[in-house]
Amino acid sequence: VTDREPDDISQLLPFYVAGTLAAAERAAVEKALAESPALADEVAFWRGAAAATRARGTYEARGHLPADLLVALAEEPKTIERQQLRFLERHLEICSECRGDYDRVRASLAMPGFAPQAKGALPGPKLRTWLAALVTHRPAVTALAAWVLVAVALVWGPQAPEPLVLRLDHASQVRSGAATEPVTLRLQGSVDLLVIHAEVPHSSLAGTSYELTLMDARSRPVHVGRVESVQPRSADVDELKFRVNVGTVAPAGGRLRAVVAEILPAGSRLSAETYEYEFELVRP
Amino acid sequence: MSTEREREILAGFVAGRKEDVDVVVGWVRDVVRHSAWGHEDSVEDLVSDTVIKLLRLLGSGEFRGESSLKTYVSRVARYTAVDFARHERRSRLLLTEENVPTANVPTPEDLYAQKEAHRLFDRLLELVDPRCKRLWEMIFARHLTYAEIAAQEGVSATAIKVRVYRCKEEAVAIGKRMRSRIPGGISTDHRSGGRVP
Repeated sequence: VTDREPDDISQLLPFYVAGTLAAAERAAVEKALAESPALADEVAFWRGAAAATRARGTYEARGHLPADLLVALAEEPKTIERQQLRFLERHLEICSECRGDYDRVRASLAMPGFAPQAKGALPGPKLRTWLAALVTHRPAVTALAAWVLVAVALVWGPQAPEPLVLRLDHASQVRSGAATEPVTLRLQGSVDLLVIHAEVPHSSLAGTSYELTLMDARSRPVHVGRVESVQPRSADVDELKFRVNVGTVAPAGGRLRAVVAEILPAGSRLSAETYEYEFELVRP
Repeated sequence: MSTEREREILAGFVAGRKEDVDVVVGWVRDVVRHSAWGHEDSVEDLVSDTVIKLLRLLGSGEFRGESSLKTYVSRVARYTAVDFARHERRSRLLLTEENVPTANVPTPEDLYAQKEAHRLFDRLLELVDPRCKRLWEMIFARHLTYAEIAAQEGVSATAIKVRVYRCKEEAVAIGKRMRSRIPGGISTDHRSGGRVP
């Protein structure tokens, strides 16, 4: 190990900075660093790259839409397949940052020489406007209609199937290094509703919320949702409950990564944490 | 504009022919100077980042002529502008005392330089080949060893180490198209006092 060529040492430096080298290789790198000050410059590069990559990971774990997808949605929504379009619309409703980016892309299209193809492409706002007007101007009619709908659903509607429950605990966390194999969950029959209970360290900070992003095997976000409830599970651990329609977000099942991002109250000087879990859905 | 003319511009841009570079840069500038982005002070940085991306995309045959070249260039400029806005937001969020280690930083100037380096590495991450970005994520965010990455990618450990090393070379080359120096030979923009190469 000690008589490596300088190039070999250079190739080990990123892994040295990441702290993933074996002891003998780490010793060889440290010896080379002591003998060759020029290598310190390379280490500085890798430290910069490492810090930026980790910081970026924390940001992206919140599941923001890729910029090229936002642009495609604004420019040519008709080229996006229906299922993905639904996901994108839903994401824009809950992610104010992506919504702002999307609006800026739309605004930039209003330049001379560019056809605003995306005008009126998203159908959601029209329906919402109509419903808002109904609720505002005809509250009694709205309340009666809602009551009738609920009564009909209770009496004649099909009973909702029991959701499957997936527990993601410390043993299935990826970043802790504890997980070697993902938790496997076998879906039964046509059940598509999944309730995920994820364990995170107890947060005593009032106003803290959590957001779940599910990513597919290609690390593309397929679902983003806010936590439904937070229950203390023990003195040190909280249990978060998320509800996911896996029939929509992962119709074929497969390996998924769940990233739970902590959302701190505005003005907090603490650093928000993220927790990652892996699991596999198996269709019958 | 004829397809033939577009092919000429594309070839000329990748080869660095001034008149064709000027045409493409003009298309990029038309998009990124729009007030919707709120990047009035960073238009030249944004033009530079878009051109670096376009050189990689067009040089690798990514443009297949399914739209006009101008439409393609405008689209890349738009998503680069979105990425740039996100970079700026991240910088504001991440450049806090908690996230930039201040150990062994003797002066405020050094601290400023460290923060500036962090900001530029973040920008650089947008510009390197996505395969490099993915490798860096495996190394620095997921803390995989080179042997684990090799097993995951189905190649030898040596191949992974060489790929990672080539990524650094690519990043340094991209950095040289930006301006001024930060650690490891990457360069930064005019605001930190550098010179145009």
